[in-house]
This record gives sequence, C-alpha cells and structure tokens, in this order.
Amino acid sequence: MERLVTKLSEAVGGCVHFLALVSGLILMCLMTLTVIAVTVRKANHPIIGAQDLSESGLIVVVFFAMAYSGWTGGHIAVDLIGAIKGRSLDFLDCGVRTVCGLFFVVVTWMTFEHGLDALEFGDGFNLLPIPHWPFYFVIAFGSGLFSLVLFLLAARSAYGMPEIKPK
Amino acid sequence: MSESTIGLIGIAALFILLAIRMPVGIVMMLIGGVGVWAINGHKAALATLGSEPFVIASNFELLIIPMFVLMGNLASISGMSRDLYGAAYAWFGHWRGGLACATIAACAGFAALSGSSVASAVTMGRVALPEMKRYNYHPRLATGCIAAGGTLGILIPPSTGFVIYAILTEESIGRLFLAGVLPGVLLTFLFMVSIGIQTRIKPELGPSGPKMPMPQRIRATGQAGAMTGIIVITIGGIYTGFFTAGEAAGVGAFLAFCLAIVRRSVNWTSMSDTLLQTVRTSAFAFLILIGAHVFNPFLALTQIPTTLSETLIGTDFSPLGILLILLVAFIVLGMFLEGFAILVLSLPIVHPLIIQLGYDPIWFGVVMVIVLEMGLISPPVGVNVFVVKSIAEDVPMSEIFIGIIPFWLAMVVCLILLIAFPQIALFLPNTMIN
Repeated sequence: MERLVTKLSEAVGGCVHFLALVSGLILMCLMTLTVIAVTVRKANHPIIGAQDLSESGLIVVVFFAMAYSGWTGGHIAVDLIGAIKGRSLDFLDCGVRTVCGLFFVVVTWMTFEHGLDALEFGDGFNLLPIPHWPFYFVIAFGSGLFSLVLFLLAARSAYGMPEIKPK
Repeated sequence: MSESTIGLIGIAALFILLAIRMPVGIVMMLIGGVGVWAINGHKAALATLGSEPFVIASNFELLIIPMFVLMGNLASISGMSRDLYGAAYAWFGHWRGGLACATIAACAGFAALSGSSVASAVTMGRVALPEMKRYNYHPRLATGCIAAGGTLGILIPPSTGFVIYAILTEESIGRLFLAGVLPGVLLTFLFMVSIGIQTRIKPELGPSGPKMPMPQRIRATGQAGAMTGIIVITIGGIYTGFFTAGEAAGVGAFLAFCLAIVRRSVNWTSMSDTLLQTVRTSAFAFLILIGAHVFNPFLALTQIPTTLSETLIGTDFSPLGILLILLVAFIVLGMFLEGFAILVLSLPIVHPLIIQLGYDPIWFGVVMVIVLEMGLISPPVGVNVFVVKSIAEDVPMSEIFIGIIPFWLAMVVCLILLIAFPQIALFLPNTMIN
C-alpha cells in the first residue's frame, strides 16, 4: 500500500506541477493582454472583450494551480495546537485532510452541476460569445484534482511520509 | 434553534477546525456551507458552493492579485533587491546603525514592488543579513530590522492585504493603495528613528560602515533607477487615473519582466520557479476569498454582525473607545492567528460597525493592515520572525523577538498618529485624479 501511495504521489505530483506551469503561462498571456489592452485603449481603439478574456483566463489560472498549492502546502493553516507532535500529528493531519478531501468532492460535484446548468441555459460572458460552461468544468476539474491531492496527502500522513515542499 | 445560536455554534466550530490545522479557506467554505444549510436548507447551501468559486475566480478586479505577486517575484529574480539595498547603503551606510536603516529603506522600496511581507523579509534578509554580520551588527538589531522592515510589504502598495480588504468591503482598491503610501513612508521613518535611538543608547548594536564618495552614491542610486521607474509608473498611474489598479498590476509585472530579460536573469528554470511560486500564492489567496464569500452570507444570515454592532454602540463607550477595544482585540488575535485569517474572519463583523461609528472605511483599512503587521512580528506565531529565523539560523528566537520590540513600539506610535491625524492616510486618496 505504501508503495502505491509513493507511485501515486509521483504521478499526481507531476500532473499538478505541469498544470501549475500551464497556469503560470496563461498568467503571462493575461499580463501581455493587459498591456496591449491599456496601450490600444489609450490610442482610442479599445479591444472589445479584453475583460471577458481576462476573466475566463483567470479561472484557468486559479483552478489549474489550486491542487499544486495544496500539494506543496501553500494553503495556509493556523498551527494553534503546538503540543501535538510526531505520529499523533500525522494522524490528526490525516483526518483533517480526509474531511477536506470529502468536502471538495461536494464542491466538485456542485460546480459540475452548475456547468451542466450553464450549458443548458447558454450562459456566457458579456461581450464575447464565450460560454460559461467550459469554465465551470475547469473549476470542477481543478477542485476534483485538489480533492485527490488532499486524499493522497492524508494517506502520506497516515504512513508518516514527509511533507512535500515547493522547489 | 435560533439563527444566532447556529451562528455561535458555527463560530466555535470554525475556531476548533482552525486549531486542528484545517486550511483557512476550506474551514470558511465548510462552516459557511453547513451554516447556510442549517438556516436556509441544503439547496441554498449547495448552490452557494457551486456558484461562488466561479464568481470569485472570474472577478476581473482580482486579476490584480496574481499580477502583483508576479511583479514582486520578477523583481526578486532580476536582482532589484540588491540594487535597492546598494542605493540605500550608499546613502545611510556610514551612519551609526546605518546598515539597519539601509535595510529598512530597501524593504520599503521592495514593498512598493511586492505585496507580500514574507517575500520582502526573505528577499531583503538574504541581501542585508550577511552585510550586517560583516560589520559586526548585533544579531538582535540585524534580525529585528529585517523582520519589521518586511512587514512594510503589506502596507506600502501594492498590498495583498488591501486587495482582500477592498474585495470584502467593496471599497476601491486604488484608493486603498494610495491610502497606504504616506503611512508606509511614516512607518519607514519611525523604524529608522527607532534604530537611531537604539544605537544612540547602545552604539555597539550597529557600528558605522565606511562613507562612500558622492560619485559612488550617485552611481548606486542610478542602478536602482529602473526599479524606481516601475514604482512611479504603477503607483503614479493609479494616482493620476491613467490606469485602474488592475491594469497597473499588469503593466508593472510586464515592466519587471522586461527588466529581468534585459538583465539576463531570466532562464527557463528561474522563470518556471517564478511562475510556480506566483500561481501557488495566488491560488491560496483565491481559496481564502472563495471561503470568505461562502462564510460571510452565513454570518449575515445569523444576524450576529448587526446584533454585535447594536450592542457595542448601545454601550457607554465613545467611538474612539470602541475603536481602541477593537484594535487591542486585533493585536491579541494577531499573536495567535495569521493576518489574512483575521482579516477575512473579522471584517464582516467589524466593517458595518466602523461605518456606523462614522469612521472612514479606507482609513480603517490602513489602520487594520498596520495592526496585522504587528501580528506578523508578535510571538508566538509571528510569521516574519520565523522567516528571518530560517535565514539567520544561528540567532535564537528569543533574541529576534527582543530585537523586534522597538519596531513594534514604532508601529504603536504610527497607529496613534494615524488615529490622531487620519489625513495621513486620506490625503492621497482624497486628492486622487479620476
């Protein structure tokens, strides 16, 4: 079982790392878009729908990085009970992460449902004909991956494996 | 069960979950979701959980968070921190305690590029600590000034603290940013005065460095010119109404990227590390904001904020008395809770109260951020202290905490001045163009 957790850690770690890089590259694109949008707006030729592109891009940036942030301990937690250490702390972390993972299964399910609703009703952004539903599915995918990461981190805590740090 | 009782149970559960190390954003989503379920039924709760992630992650105004984080990280890799320190060192290094003053000045400069206190402390600590060690600075002064100087990161714009405050209270991000400028300068000055007083009493704390000739000082200042240009363009652009705060963030990040390319500090490894660090920080900030937007409606449903406001206003305390009680409570909370957690958990309760008491919410945002800064260097969970400890491994924690006391007192003086003269914070936003 421990070997399976190690193997899964390698696979999931690689996947969340790759998605976070994609998220970073999209952020660079949004940065470039902002500069171009400001420049041409000052020249009285605003880009129609630049804001729609930024809003949709931001969703991908955030939810492609959500699991990476969780995997590398980026989501801040408050350490108020300093007295718990060692294996007791591992088991406490295991329980907390399992609960968080289960909760994010619910979030995944609900955002997926909202995506189906958006698809049915044809919701979209303001100026460009970009539908909302693919972005709800991006959120569902990001939340689902985050949930998987939380379960995996719970398993790692149960086996007393070390915390994963960002490079 | 009454709504208020459900609210109180929810708040108690929130603190229990925080205590067992559940991430802040998830705790708020979980308690908010369960609370809305208990009051309005499961359909309302599940609908909130399904819609809020989209609403927050597609908020155009929030693009400012990853952009300014990116700008700060790019400034780090392009060596701007070293230039800043070099310029400040050239002018202040020969004073008694001058290297510590240079560190504070460089922290203030770096704070204008980065919205994070931790990033400011880490970046400047790596540059300044070896220099102060070389000139036999007492570790107490060296580490204390870095930990305190780093806190300027969330006061001097761009500041993630102000962005979160603005989003939760629906205030203008641009006005809050401008409101942080003069208090940031004032606090920088007070930190320097504190160093001056310490080294006058105990000269061995910070011996003088060598005096640099004028041409060398001018050259060092010129090397920090590019960074100054980026700060002037971003903050000046917001002040003059040339950009919105979000656009300023994008332009600032772009300029920092161009500068990093010109300086040849960008390669695949450094860039991928920068991007990973940026999206990692941004994702955590968004999770907290999503959590806050699920938790706050629950809190509003319980009527607790309204009841608490009415109770406090109904007491014999003057508005100033209530404000001081709130600030003391925040300072105490800051000793145990992380700054962002205090911000998102307390604002739904405190903001309506502040409005009712007749205080300006922009001014209060600045006051609150300074109080959060105090929490960053207060024991036992002063994050900046742990950051400095990770750089200065040989200095005991107790020594760092003792070194921080004079800077903490400087923050108290800054708070008193801000309460006595609110115009320090409000002058720039009130004269802002467009």
